[in-house]
This record gives sequence, structure tokens and C-alpha cells, in this order.
Amino acid sequence: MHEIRIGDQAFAIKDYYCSRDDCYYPKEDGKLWLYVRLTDVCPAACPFCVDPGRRSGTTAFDIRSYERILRRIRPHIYGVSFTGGEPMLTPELLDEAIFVTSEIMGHEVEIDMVTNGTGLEIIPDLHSIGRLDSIHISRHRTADAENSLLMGFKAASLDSVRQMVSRLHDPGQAVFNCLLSRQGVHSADTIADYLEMAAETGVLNSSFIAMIPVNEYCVRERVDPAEIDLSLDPRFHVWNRFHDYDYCSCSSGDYQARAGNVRFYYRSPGTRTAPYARQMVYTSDNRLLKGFGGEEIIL
Amino acid sequence: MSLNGFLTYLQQLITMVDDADPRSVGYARAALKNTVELARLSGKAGGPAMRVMVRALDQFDDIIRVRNQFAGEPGEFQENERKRRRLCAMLQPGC
Repeated sequence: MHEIRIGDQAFAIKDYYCSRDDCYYPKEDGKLWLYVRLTDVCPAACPFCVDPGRRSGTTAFDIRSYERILRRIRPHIYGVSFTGGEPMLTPELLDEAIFVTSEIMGHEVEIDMVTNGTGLEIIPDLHSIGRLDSIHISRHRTADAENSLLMGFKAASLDSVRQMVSRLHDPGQAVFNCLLSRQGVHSADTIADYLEMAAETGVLNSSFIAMIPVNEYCVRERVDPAEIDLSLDPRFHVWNRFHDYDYCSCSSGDYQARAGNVRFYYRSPGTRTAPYARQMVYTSDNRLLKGFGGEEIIL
Repeated sequence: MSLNGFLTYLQQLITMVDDADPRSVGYARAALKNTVELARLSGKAGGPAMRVMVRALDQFDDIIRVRNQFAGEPGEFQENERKRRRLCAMLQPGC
């Protein structure tokens, strides 16, 4: 395994491409993904949250400190996600952080954001909207009322998502993120219903992900996407399926909805934890961590 | 041919395709097939680029079904680049 050093920490880095057929080709420029937590405040109260934050308060995120650290770690980063907490609680800060990231990282690095739907109506007005590869909107049920009940707050309605997407120059930026669950989306039929809803709303891509078993709710509700056979339904076209030994697998394809074809992706954690680092985290109190909940990196 | 160079070529190809016309799709597929063959015979494409080329050829009909999500627009540099990354993510795993 390739190793890199950032500050006082050594990282084992993935040095091969995921495989379709157990043939792992070497990858020369292994890098890490950076998650940027603009705030730890989130108005939602999802029972499956891996890192519940505060329901209210302010953030200590300092853009100059972020800028300084990003310049130092730049060669080791291949993508940046703005997350939280809820990043749309501080839209001006988000806008500036996207701009700074784009200036430092250049135009080849992927940049995205993850939102629970707060302030959805002003996302198209962000100055840096064009630099976002994708806007991931958390949505775990097909119907508005059920989704709000699950997320513990008044989540974005389908109407508000539809309006937001209609104002994007590239509607393909919007992505729904759905955690599979026994009481929610859990089968080919319920995935089909979800994708019909997405297509009618104008969201052209949806991600289905397994819950991380962080509490009893997640253990009880967890559904593994790898166990769902989409090949029996002719509306699903599975393009590929990749795996990384038994650490994880993923698949993508498109679905023929009544309102037009939409893409889907799913990712399934495997039975073992990968022996390499995947990410770094820049926290809302301006620390750089070796992964979520990991050791602090001193630069 | 670099991976970026190939993705730009592929995006141009699917932008020009009329997906309602089977002849148009057929011409584009033939052009792609010849390019991939040329890259293979000349040895001028690296391993990662070559694998994406072969995947693109195998999945050309799939790409065409959702071509609007990848097709470029003249003068929209940032958007076209974003759509190329989107296209690449469908042909090889990103992580």
C-alpha cells in the first residue's frame, strides 16, 4: 500500500482501481477526499445520524484558517464535500468556502455539498453554484410527510425541490441521497417508486446507501443494497458493478421512469474495513482530522 | 490519448448525436469504435484511459439513453467539464 505523510500523520493510500472482475489495476496518484464541516448545527434529528450535532447555535468556522490548511494539503486531495451539520444554515460562508476551494484546487477537482434541504430556494442564487459538481439532498422517503417525520423536522417538500431544480442551469447537479431502510426504500419496487418520484421532481440522479450501524435503530433498519436484485425489472439498466475486495462494492445505472430516464448509484459497505485512509475532515472548529472522529493532524 | 482528451472527444460525440435517429447513433458508435481501435493499435493511450474507452464503447447505448446529462453546450466551459466528470464517474469508480 502506498503511504503519504501529511503533517505529523502517515496515511496508507489506496493504490489500485476498484475492479469488475477481481483484476485490480494499479493507480499511481492515490489521494484523499476532504469533508468540510462548515457547522455542527443541524435542525434535523434523523435517527440514523452518524454524528448528531447541535440543534441551534453559531459556528466557529474560520475561512482564513481553512484557506491556509487547504493550501498545505492541496496535493493530496481529489475532491471536497461541504457538509455539516447543515451547510445551508450559513449560505454566505458556504459560497465563500466554495470559491476559496475552487481558487486553490483549480477546476479539475470535484466539489459538492450535502444538504438536508434547508434554504433550498436560495441554492441557485449562490455565486459559486456553477462550480458545484453536485448538490446532494438528503431524502429517505418518497412522500413529503413521511420524510419529514423521519428526519425530525419540516424537510424540503417535493414542490420546493422541483422549483430549485428548475432554476439550475444544469439540472443534473441535483442528486437525492437515500439511506435504505426496512420501513422505507428497501426493494426493487420501492427503489422504482423512489426513482419515479425523483424523475417527476426533475432530480436526475439518486444515490442509495446502506446505513452505518451506529445505533440500535440502524442495526434494526439496515438494508444492504447489494442484496437487492434490480436485474429482474426491465426498467432498470445496471451499467456496472465494482468492488474493492470485500471492503465495499458499488454499482450504477439508469432507470426508465415515466417522466424520463434517471441515473442511480448505490454503495454497499463490505464485511471488512479497508486498510487504507479514504478521507480527511476539516471540522467546524478549524481542526484537520484523519477521517471522521479520527486523530487531529498537526501541520 | 489522455483520459481527459478522450472524455472531451466522447462528450463531443454524444452532443452531436440525434438520439431519435438510429443512423445517427450508429455513425457515432462507429466513430467511437474506430477511435478506440486506433488508440489500441497505436499504443498511444495509457491503461486507465484505455479501460474507460472500452467501457464507453460497451456502454454506448446506455450513455445515449441519458445523453442530456452529459452533452455539452458551446461556451459553457465549467458546465461541460462538470458533465465530463459525471460521464467519467459512470464509466469508472471515482474512489
